[in-house]
Amino acid sequence: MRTFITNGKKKTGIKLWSVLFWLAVWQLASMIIGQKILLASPVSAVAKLLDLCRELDFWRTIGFSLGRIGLGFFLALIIGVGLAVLSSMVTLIRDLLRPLLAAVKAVPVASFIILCLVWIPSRNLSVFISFLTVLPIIYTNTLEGILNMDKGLAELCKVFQISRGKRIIYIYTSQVLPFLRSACSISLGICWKAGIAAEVIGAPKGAIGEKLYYTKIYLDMPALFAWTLVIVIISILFEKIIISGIEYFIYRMEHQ
Amino acid sequence: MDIRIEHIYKSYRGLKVLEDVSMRFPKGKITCIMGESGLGKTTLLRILMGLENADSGLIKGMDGKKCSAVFQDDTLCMSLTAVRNILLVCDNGVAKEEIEGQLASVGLEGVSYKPVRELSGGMRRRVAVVRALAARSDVVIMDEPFKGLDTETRTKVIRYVRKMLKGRTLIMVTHNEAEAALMAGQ
Repeated sequence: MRTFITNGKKKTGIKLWSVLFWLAVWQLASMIIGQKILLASPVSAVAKLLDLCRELDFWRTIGFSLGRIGLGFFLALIIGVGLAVLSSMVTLIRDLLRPLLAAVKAVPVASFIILCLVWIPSRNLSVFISFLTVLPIIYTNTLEGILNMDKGLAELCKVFQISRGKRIIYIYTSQVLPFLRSACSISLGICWKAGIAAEVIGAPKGAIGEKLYYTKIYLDMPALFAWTLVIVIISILFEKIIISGIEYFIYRMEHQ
Repeated sequence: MDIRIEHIYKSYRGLKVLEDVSMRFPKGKITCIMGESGLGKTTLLRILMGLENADSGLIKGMDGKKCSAVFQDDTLCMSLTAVRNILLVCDNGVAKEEIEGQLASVGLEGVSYKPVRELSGGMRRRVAVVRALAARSDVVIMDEPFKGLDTETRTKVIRYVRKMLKGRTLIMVTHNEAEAALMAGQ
C-alpha cells in the first residue's frame, strides 16, 4: 500500500539571509558594471516595479496573462485527469495516447509556439501552450496514481459491494489526490514559464510577454527585471493557492 | 439456508493448497476454522468471498447473500478516518454518532476522526472488525480478526462481535483455541 507520510518536515526552504546575500551580490555587481543597460540594480528594478504598480494598465496586463495561462492550466488539469481515468479503464486509449504525449513532452516548447502561431491567434497562444506543457504531467501522474491503487481496496469494494459513487468520491480520490498534488506542484512553474515564453514570441497586445518583448526592443533593463519579478511573484502565489486548495481538500477528506 | 462447500480443490502453480475440502457452515451460527499456517484457510475464505475461483468443487448457499469481511491485512483506506472507513460500507443514512458509539464499544474512543494511518495496528484491526459488523450483510467472514490484540481488548472485541452478529452467519479463521472458545460463549 502506498502512503505519503513524512517523519517531520526537512528544512529545505529558502532562508531569508541567503536571499539578502544574493541581492547584495546583484546590487554590488550592478554598481561595479555601472551601466543600467547591461545590468539593472535590484533597487532600480523595485523602483520600476513600484512605478508600474500605480498604473491601471499594469494590473490589466497581469489579469490578461494570469487569465489565459490559468485557463490553460485548468483545462489541462480537467482533461488530463479525464484522460487518465479513461486510460486506466481502456488499455487501447492508453496505448494510443502514449506516443502522442511522449512527443508533446519531447518537442521543445519554442517549436510548438512557432508552429501554433500559424493556427492560433497570438492572444490565445498562451492558453494552448500552457495547456500543452501541463497536460502530459497531469495525465502521467494521475494515471500512475490510479494504476498504483491498492489492490486490496478493489477487493474491499467487491466484497462489500460499495457503490460506484462512493468508490470514486472516497477511495479513488483519496488514492489519487497525492499524485495530483505532486503533478500540480511540478507543472505550475513550468506552465507559467511556457505561457510567458509564448507571449514573448507571439507578443499579443496587453500581455506580460508583450511588455517583456518591448523591454528588449527599448533595452529597458529595470523594466525587464521588474516584469520578471512580477512573473516570479505571480508564479509563486498561483502555485501556493492551487497547492493550498488541494491540500485543504485532502485535509477535509482525511478528517471528515 | 446453510452454506456448503463440497470437494473444493485449489492449487497455485502446481502447489496444492486445498484438496477435496468439504464443509458446512450452519445458518446464523458461528463457525471457527482452525489449523496450522499454510493449510489454505485464507484461500478458503477468499473463495467463499468470491475473490478467487476454486479449481473444482461446489459452493452452495452463497448466492444472493451479502458478505462483509475482516481481511487478513485490514484493507482499510489509510487516508480516511475510522468513521469514514466504516460509513463507506454502510447504507446511506447511518449516522456518524452511531459509528462513534460502536468504535467506543471496542475501546476506540477519541480516535474516530483520525486518519487510519495514524492508528496503531491493534486499533486498525478493531476498525476493520467494526466495519465488518456495521455493514448490512447476511454472512460475516473474518480472517484472524483478533490478531495483535491484548487479552483484555480481545475479550471486549469478542463480546462486541457476539452482540453485533444478530443472527448472521459468521465464518472465522483463528489459530487460537481460547478465541474460538470465547466466540462459542464458553
